[in-house]
Amino acid sequence: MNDLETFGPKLTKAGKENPFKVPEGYFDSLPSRVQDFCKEHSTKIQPVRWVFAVRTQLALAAGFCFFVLLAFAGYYYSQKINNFSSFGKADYIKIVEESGTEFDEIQLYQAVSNTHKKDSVKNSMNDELIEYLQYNNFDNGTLLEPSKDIKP
Amino acid sequence: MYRVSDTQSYAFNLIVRKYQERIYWQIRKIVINHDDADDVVQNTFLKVWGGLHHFREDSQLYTWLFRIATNEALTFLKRKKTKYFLPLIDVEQQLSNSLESDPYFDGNELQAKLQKAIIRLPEKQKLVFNLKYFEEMKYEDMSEILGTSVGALKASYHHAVKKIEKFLEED
Repeated sequence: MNDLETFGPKLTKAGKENPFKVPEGYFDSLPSRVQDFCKEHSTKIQPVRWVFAVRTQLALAAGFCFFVLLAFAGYYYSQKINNFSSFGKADYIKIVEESGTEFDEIQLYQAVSNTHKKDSVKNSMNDELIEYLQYNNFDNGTLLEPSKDIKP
Repeated sequence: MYRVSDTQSYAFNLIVRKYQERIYWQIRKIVINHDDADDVVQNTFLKVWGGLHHFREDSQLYTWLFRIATNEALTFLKRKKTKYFLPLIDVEQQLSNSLESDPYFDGNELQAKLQKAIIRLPEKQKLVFNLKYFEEMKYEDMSEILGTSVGALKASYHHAVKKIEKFLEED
């Protein structure tokens, strides 16, 4: 080769002869030895291949099942929390009914009376206003409706 | 190619007889030692036997065989490295040292030095050099076998020749 002689004179000198050799009759016996080797090892290989082939699918299926379980568990527990936090009016009444005995009588009375007091304050202010307007001869049409809340 | 099991063995036998020498020498040039090459050849044909039904027939049969053989030989060297906890350079050193005492090496001093130089080449350059120098394969055929462009192969061969020439000039 011209390019080889240009680039590698020492290489050209080494030559292209194959320096390796094989035992006598090696290639004559090789096909039968290869056949025996393949028969011996192919039976061992087969079950491994089957497992190897299925293993990937099994791993994918296991991963899918895990995520489904995770999603279901998350949904289940989130529903449980929502049910616990959503109290209705009936729930409050029930709680009070069941645990009303825990409250003191005085506390209950004060809770109720405070409401009445607030209402009476409003009413008295309206009454005073009406009285004032009547005293000063204001027209009825200008009277404020008692139902309107007047803030102190 | 017949794929019925009873004729598959017959077809496989034909493949072995037809390609055994080319496959053997391809492997031998990588692993150097005859006993190692013998092991790798048998493993190669075992893979061929197991993969015959997967062969897509969209490439030449020899191309397919060659790729299996090359991969098996390179894997063998890597396993040798990990088995003895050796860096690859020490494996190459071992191969070089075993060359002269190998009973199945029949070359002169210069040929032994050439083989030592080839052992030191990177994988790709080694393959390209062996195919181009000893088998005088065309770059186009080599491209199909190695899956590399013709330009890259020419570059690899050029670098391989330079390295070998430099090594041969050393005392």
